Amino acid sequence: MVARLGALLGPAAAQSTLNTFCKRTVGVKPEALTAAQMPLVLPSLKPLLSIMVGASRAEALVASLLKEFEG
Amino acid sequence: MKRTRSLYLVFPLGAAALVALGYALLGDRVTLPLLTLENLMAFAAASLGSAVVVRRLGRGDYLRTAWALMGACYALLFVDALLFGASTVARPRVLSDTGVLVSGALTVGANLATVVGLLWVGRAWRVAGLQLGVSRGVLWGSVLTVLALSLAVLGEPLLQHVRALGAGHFDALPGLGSALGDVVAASLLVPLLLTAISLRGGALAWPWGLLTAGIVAWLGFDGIELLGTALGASPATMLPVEEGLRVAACLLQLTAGLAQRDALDLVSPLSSA
Repeated sequence: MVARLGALLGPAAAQSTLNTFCKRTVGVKPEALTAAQMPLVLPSLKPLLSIMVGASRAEALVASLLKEFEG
Repeated sequence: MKRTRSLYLVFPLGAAALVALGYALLGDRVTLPLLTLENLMAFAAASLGSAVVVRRLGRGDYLRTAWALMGACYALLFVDALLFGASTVARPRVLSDTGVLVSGALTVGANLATVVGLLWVGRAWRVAGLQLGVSRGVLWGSVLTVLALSLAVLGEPLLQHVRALGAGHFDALPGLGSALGDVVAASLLVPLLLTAISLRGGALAWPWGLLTAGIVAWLGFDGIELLGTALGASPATMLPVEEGLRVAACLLQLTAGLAQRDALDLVSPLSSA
């Protein structure tokens, strides 16, 4: 997930963003995130991604990340 | 991709150096039509860079407004150059009363559009909730320091424009708009640069970094008269540097748009599916 977001935001910002949103949404660090918690965390990234790349791309990115984890 | 991104910085700076060298070699043979053509091409390129991003983003997307405003700025400058020719410190324009008002309105409108557009881009980190990696105190301290420095440098010319306008000299309007735009743009350097740094290693760092470099080039362009006076150089001597900085600023706007497009294309629905 850091690699996918890092391509856009850079590794440092991707890591700090994930830390923030994981703690805010499910109260754990990214390393402790379970597969079941992923569908809760990923949609919370949409507002940030919408600002940086637009709403439709944010939607597409989150959907593709969710698909990768489900697959 | 990395090579392309490096070109986004090398191309504007290289083209600007060539333009400056060309004008230096031509010396007194530089004509107004040549300057006007160069200005028109530079403004058109900058508008194109913004248009590319506006076309990629959807209605209501946050950054679309910012890029549309920045594009509007260059479109207005293009119209101004098309109607009245190039405007340089070395070759001041002689306009009719109506021309002064129309050119003044176009220049003020252009500066207003770009300042609001840059404000939009400059506060994207905050709206998005990104961490800049510095405390709020450091951020605001840096913004205020740059603002104070820009006022120290531009304060006197700014006051002169205000006084001239107050005395009914409407030809001071473009200068006033430009100087006010510079002061605001200078204070935006801090959040733009910090955003670029916080996004380092990612595709989105490039548009922010290139926009920052573009502001620096515009500040240099607008400060050329002050620099010339300080160095004791005639305006004609400064023309190559002045036009080089204008070309650099416009082409950096073009490549910032292309870099933003590249970043958007990384997550287009087709490529991410």
